[in-house]
Amino acid sequence: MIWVRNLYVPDVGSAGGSALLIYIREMMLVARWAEASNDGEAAWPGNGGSPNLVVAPADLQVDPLYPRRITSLSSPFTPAMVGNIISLLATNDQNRSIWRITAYIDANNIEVDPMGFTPFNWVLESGITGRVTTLSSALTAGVATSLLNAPAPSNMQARLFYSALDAQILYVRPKGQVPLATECTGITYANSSDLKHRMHMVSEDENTIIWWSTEDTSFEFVMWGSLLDSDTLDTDPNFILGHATAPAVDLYSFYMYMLDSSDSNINCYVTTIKQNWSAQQQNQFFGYMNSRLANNRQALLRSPWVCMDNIAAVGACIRGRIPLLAQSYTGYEKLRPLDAAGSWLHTFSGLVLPRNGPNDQLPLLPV
Amino acid sequence: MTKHWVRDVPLTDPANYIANGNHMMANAVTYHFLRVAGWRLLWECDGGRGSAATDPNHVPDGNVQVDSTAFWASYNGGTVSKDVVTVHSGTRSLKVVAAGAGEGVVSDPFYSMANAVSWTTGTGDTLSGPVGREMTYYDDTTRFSSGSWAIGSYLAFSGNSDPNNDGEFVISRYINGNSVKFENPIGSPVVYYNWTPPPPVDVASVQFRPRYEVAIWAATNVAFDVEVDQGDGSYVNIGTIPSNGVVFTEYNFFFRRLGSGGSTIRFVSQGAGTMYVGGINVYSSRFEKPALLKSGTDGVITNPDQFSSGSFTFDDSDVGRVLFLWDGTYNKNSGAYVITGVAAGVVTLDLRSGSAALVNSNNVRWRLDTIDYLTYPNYSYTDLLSYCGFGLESPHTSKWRFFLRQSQPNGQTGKGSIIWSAPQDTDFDFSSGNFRKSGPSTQRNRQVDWYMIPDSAIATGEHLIRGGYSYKTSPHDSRCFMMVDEDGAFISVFTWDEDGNHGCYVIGWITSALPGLESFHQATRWEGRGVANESFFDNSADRFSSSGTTFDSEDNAIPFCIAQLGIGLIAYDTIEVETQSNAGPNPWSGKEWLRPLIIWRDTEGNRQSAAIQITDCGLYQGRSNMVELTTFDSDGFLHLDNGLIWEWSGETVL
Repeated sequence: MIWVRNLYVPDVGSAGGSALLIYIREMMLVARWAEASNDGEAAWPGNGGSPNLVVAPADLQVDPLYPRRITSLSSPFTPAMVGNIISLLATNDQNRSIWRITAYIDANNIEVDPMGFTPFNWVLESGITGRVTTLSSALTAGVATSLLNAPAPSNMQARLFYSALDAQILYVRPKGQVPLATECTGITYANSSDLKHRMHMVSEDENTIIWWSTEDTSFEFVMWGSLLDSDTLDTDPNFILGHATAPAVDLYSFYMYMLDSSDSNINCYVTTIKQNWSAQQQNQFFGYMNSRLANNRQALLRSPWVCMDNIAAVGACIRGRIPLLAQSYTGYEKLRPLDAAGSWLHTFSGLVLPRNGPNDQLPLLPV
Repeated sequence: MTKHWVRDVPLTDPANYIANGNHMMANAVTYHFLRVAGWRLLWECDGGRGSAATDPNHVPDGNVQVDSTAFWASYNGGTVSKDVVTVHSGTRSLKVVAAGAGEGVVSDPFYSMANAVSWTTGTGDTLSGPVGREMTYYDDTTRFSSGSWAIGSYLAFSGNSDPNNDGEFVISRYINGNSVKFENPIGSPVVYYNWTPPPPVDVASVQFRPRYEVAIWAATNVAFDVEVDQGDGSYVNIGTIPSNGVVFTEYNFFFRRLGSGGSTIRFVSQGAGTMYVGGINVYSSRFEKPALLKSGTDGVITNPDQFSSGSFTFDDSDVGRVLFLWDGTYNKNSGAYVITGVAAGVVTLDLRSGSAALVNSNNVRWRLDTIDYLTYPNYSYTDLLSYCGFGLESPHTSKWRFFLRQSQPNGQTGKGSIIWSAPQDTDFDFSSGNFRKSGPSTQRNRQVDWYMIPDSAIATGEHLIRGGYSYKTSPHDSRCFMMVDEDGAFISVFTWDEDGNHGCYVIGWITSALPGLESFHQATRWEGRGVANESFFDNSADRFSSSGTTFDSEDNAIPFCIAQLGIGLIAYDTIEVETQSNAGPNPWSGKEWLRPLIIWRDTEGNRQSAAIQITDCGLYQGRSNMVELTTFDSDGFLHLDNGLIWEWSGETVL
C-alpha cells in the first residue's frame, strides 16, 4: 500500500479548492496513476512554466540512518522550500509518499513533516524522482481539468474538474482507458472558504482513497476503485465513491456512481445491515451502541456490498464489495485506532480505513 | 457439510373435509424424517388430559417432582420416599426400598385414560379384504367417529367363523366414522348378520383396546417387575427393569386398556434392594406408533425409483403411504416419497421431480408411515391428537434437542405447534417436555420467561409455527420440504401452502462463526397464531426471521433476527437489495446473486450483539420477486418464497 498521512496543504488565497485539486492530483501520481491529459494551464505542476512546480530532481535518495531526511547530490533545495510539498515517486512503496517540507538542512538535504512520516522509516533507495510543489498560482475556475489513468491493468480513469471558485467535481470513467469516455455523474466538493487542507491517502493498485479535513469540514472523502467479488463477466466494476460533508453521514448515504451493463451511468448504494424489511436505514446495526464490540467482543468490520439502482435489466442487484474500507459502529470516537495490530482506523460515522501499523501517525484535526 | 432433503411431500386435504390435515401431516413428515436420520426419541405426549393441560403425562406425579409421596403408595411392605441425592431429572426421584421379593410401590390411577370398548357385530357390519396386509372393518353404527386417534391401538375379534379373523390386530388406518383398517393379512371377508331368525348367524365379539406406551427412567440394584392394571381390575406384567448398577436408564414398555376401570402402575421387586425412579411417562403414541411401525436398515434402492427391503415385504396396502429414506452413501437418495405402486414386494416411489432419479444403493435406512389427512388430522376429532407432541435428540455431537407440541385451542383459527429446543442434551421434565432452567434452552430466559400455554388462542412468550393451515372447505394442498445436514447439526422445514401462508423454521447449529453455544439458533415464529406467511422478513413476530432465540456467552437465551440489507439514500430509506421492484439477476452473466443469511443477534441490545453471515447451513436470501418454488443454477438452489433460498439437490421440483 501507498500511504499519505497528515499532508498539510497551504492556501492559495481564496481559492482553497484549487489547492485541493492540485494535491489530489499529486497524490494520485504518487499512487501510480498517470496523467493522460489536462487542460494545459500553468497551475498544474509539471505543465510548462508552471510556477507551482518548484523543482523536480531525479537523484533523490533516502537512508534509514536518516529518518525524514531526503538527500540530493544536485543541490536542488533552498531555504524557501520549507512549507512547500515534496512527493517521492519512489520504487519502494514505503518511500513513496508526499509530505510537507519542515526543515532545510542544506542544499542537498531537507527534512519532511514527522506527522506524516512512515512509521517504518525509509528503505534505502536512490535515484528517486521527486517533485517539490507550492501554490503560487490557482487553477482556472470552470476550465481546469486533469484526466488520470488508473494503474494497469485497470481501465479506469479519474477526472478532476475545477468547476468554480472553491467548488470541484470529481468524476470516474470506469472504462476510460478502453477507451470509452462515458463519464459517470460527478461528486461535487464545495468548500466555500476552506483555505487549508490536511490530506490523507491510502492506495493499493487502482483502489485509492483520499480524504481530508478543512477549516470548515472535518471529513471529506473520495475513493476511486474496483469492486471485489463482482461477476466474472463484469470486467470493469469501477466506481467513484464520496461525500463532501462526510463527518455526520453514514457510509450508506455516500454518493457512488458506476456504469451499468449498458455503459450508462447508474447510481449505486452501499448496503447496510438492518433488522427487517422496511426498517429505516438509520436503524442500522452499526447504529446501535451494542454493535461497538459485536462479534465475540471485537469490533465488526464489514466489507460492504454495493447494490445498483432499481433499474430493470441493467441494475437492481448486488454488484460487489468495496475494497480497502470497512463499515463498523457509527458511534466510535473520531479518528480512533481500532486494533492493537494497527490495521484499522475509525474515521467518522463508522467508516473504517486501513492504518499503517500501530505506530502510524494519527490524523490531526483541525487543520 | 453434506445435506439431505425431503423433496416436496404433497399434503392434501380433500374438499369435503374441514379438518385441513396439513399441519399435523407436516409435523409427522418432520418427525419421521428425523427419526430415519438417526434422531433419538426422547419424549412423546398425547392430548388426552385435555386442551388446557400443560402436563400431558397420564401418570400423577409422573415427573416425580412433587415433594411428597402423595401420589404413591407402598405395595406389600415396600418403603417409598422421595430422594434428592440420586436424581435423574429435576430435584427429586422416587425411592423404593424392598426388604425382599414382592415389595414395591404402586401409583395413583392414571389421568384421563381412554377406555376399552366392547361390542358385538351387528347386521350390516363387514370385514373386507385383505388388501395386502390390511383388512377393513365396517361398522354400521359409525362407531369410529372421531376415531383416527385409535390408529396404533388394537381391535380384538373373537367368535368369527373363520378363525383367521379372530385375534388382536393393530389398527392401521382410519377411513371414516364407520370404517377402519387393521393389519391381518390372512383373514377373510365377512358380512355379519345378527338377527334371529333366520340362521345362519354370523356374529363376532369385538373389543377396541387403546394402547399406551410407558417410558420409565430408573436406577436400581435389583430387578423390579413392572405391572399395570389395564383397566380390568387385574395387573399384568408388562416388563422388567433389570438391576442396572444404579445408573439411570430409560426403559420402554406398553400396555393395552382392557376395561374402563382405573389404570395404575406398580413396581414389584424381585429381591431386596433399592430402585430410584427418575420419571414415568405414559402416553398414547401419535407419531412413533410402535405397534404399527415398519422400519429397517436394509433398504435396497434401484434406479430410478424402486425400493425394497430384505426384512419386510411391501404389499398393495402400502400404496399411498410415505416411505422415509436415509442414505448415508448417496445423500440425494434420502427423502420422503409417496409409494405409487407395488410389485413383488418392490415399491415404486413418486420422486416429485422431472429430473430426479435415485441411485442404486444398499443398506438404506427406512421407515414407513401413512401421511394423510385421516391419520394426521389438523383439527377436530379429539384433544388426544390436537395436543400431541414429541421430543427428539439429534445425532449431532452436541446432542441438541428439538421438541414440538401441537396446540389447537380454537380449531381452525387457533392452530399452531409450539417448538422449543436446546443446544445440547439439556435436562427436561419427563411429563411436560419442558427443559429445566438448569441448562441452556430456548425456554431458559428471554425478554420474558418462556412458558407454554397450549390452550391459549394467542400464544405469548413462546416459539411456534403456524403457517400453511388456513381454513378452507375446498381442496387444500400443502407441500413439505426439509433440509438437514448429515450429522444432524440443524434442520430446516418449509411447508408451502396454496394460500401463501407458508410454514417455515430453522433450528440448530447453523454457523460455526461464534464460540460455544452462541452458534446455535432457533428461527421460528414468536407468539401470535394469526394466519401468516412465516417465510417473510419484516418485523412481524409472525415471521420465522423476526424474533429467534440464540445464546450468549453465559449460555442464556437471547433474541436474534435474520437481518436485511438496506440500501440507498433517503429516497430508498426503507428499501432492501432483494425487495427492489426491478430486482433481477446479474445483468452481465444472468446469475442470481445470493447471500448467506445474516444473523443479528441480541436485537434487544442487552448483552452481546453480533452480526454474522451464516455460511454453514445452505440458507440464503435472494431477490424476493422470484417465482416461488423455482430452482436455478442447475437446480443447485431452490427459491421457496420471498427470497428465502435453500441449497438444493440438483433436481427440479414440480
